[in-house]
Amino acid sequence: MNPHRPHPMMPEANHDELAEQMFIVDMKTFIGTKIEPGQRLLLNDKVIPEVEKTTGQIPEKHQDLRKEMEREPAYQAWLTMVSTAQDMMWDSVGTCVQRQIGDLTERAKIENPRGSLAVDPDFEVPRYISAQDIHRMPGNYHSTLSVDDIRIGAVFDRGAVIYQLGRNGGFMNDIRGHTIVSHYFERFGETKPARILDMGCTVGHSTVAIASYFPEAETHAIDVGAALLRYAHARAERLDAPIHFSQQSAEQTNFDDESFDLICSSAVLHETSGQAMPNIIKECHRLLRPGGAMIHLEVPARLEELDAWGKIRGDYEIQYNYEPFWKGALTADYRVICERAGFANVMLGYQDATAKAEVGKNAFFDKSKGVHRSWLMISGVK
Amino acid sequence: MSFAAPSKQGQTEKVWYPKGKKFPYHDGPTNDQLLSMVMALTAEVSILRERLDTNERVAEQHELYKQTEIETYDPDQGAMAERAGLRRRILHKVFRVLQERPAAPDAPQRDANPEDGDTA
Repeated sequence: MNPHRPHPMMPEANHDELAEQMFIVDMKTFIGTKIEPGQRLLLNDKVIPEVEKTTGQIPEKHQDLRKEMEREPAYQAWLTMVSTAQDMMWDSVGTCVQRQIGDLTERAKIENPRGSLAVDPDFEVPRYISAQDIHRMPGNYHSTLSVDDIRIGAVFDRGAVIYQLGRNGGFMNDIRGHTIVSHYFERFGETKPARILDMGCTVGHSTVAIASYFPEAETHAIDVGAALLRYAHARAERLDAPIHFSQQSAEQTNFDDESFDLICSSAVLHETSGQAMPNIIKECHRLLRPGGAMIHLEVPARLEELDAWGKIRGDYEIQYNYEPFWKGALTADYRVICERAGFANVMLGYQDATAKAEVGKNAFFDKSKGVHRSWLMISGVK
Repeated sequence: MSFAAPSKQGQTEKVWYPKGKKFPYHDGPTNDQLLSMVMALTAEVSILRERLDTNERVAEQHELYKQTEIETYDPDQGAMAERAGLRRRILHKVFRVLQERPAAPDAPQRDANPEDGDTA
C-alpha cells in the first residue's frame, strides 16, 4: 500500500504540490516549535512584569493580558504566521483538488455500494457551523456545489492530514478512531455492538477505523454536508467498508429510539455550541439501547489547566481559527451534562492514542500526555 | 506571438477565502500582508529547490551526470561573468524600491545610478 495514497479517492499531489504541502507541514511545525515558545516567554518575561510594574497587579483575566500582547510586534507577527500557514494549506490542497476534480467526481460514483448515502435536500445546516468557516477552510463542511459534488470532501481528506501534520495516522488520518475503540475495549471488553453510530463523521476518517473492529455490525455515520458525505461514502466503499452515511444533525436524528449499541464522535463536540452539545448528549441517550455505550473523543485540554499563554493561544482558536465553541468545550462540565441526560458510570479521562486497539490494555489515565499522545474521552452507559 | 495568450495554469487557479472575522491589521495592512507574502515566497523557493533536487537525482539515475559534479563544477570566465550579471539583476529587481533616493519635494525623480540608464 502506498502510504501517500492508501485509498483511490485520495487526491493525488504532483511533484510540486507534494513539495508545497511538505513545506507547509514543516512551516507549521516550525511556527509551533520555534516561534510559539517565544510568545510564552514574551508574555511571562516582558509583558506580565511590565503590566505589574505599571498597574501594581497582574490582570486576572487572560483576555486583558492578550490585549497587552496585541501591542507587541512579535505577537502580531505570530498571529499573522499562524493564520497564513493555515490559509496556505487550504489553498494548496484546494488547487490540487481543483486540478483533478473531474476525475475525482467520476471516481466517486459508486455502483452497487455495500453501504449507502442519504442526502437531504431540505437540510438546514446548524448556525454554529455555518456562521464561520471552521478551521478557516473556505466553503466549510457543508460546501456543496452541485448534485454530484465531492470537492470539500476531497479537500478535507487531504487537508486534514496536513493539518494534523500526519500525526493522526498519516494519510489514513484514523488514530482517533482506533483510540475510541481502545477506550471501548477497556470499558466494555469483548462485547460486540450490533449497531454503531458515528456523529460528525466528516469523510469517515474515524468511522472506517471503528467499523473495522466490528465487521458484523451495521455502522451509520452522520454529518451536515452533502458533498462531504458523498466523498465519505466513496472513500469508504473504495476501502471496502460498508457504512451508511446520512445528512443529519447530531442534535436531532431520524433514527428510532434505542436503536444503537455504540454511539461515538471524534473531535466533534468542540465544534458545536453551548446549547447544541447537551442536546447531542440527550440524543445519544435516546438512541442507545439500555446498556449501550456512548464515547466522545475530544481535544485533551482543560482550560483551568492551561497557563496564561495557553489560554491566549486558545483565544486564537476561537477568534481566528473559527472554532467558536473551543472555550465552551474546554470548560464544560461533561460529567453533569451526561448524568443529567440519564447516563450512568460516566467516565472522563485520557486514553493513550493508538493505531491499533487491543482488548486487555491499560491505557486510560487521569492525566493527559499531550495532544496526539492522549485524547480526552467522555463516556457513559445508558 | 500573443502576450495575452491564456495559460493552462490560469484555468485551475481559483482563490478561496474563509468566511469569518478578520483580525485587525496592526500597523495598517502592509506589515501583515508583507509577512504573508514572504511566507508564500518561501514556499515557492522551497518548491523550486526541491524540483532542482529531483532534476539532479533523475539525471544521475540516467547517468547523465553525478550530483557530485554539481559541487566540483568549475565555471569558466564567461559563465562567471554571466552569473555575476544574474546576481546584479536579482539584487536590482528585489531591492529596486530601496534604491529610490529621497529628494526635495519639488525636485524631479533622479535615478541614483546613472550608469544603468537615464530614467528621469
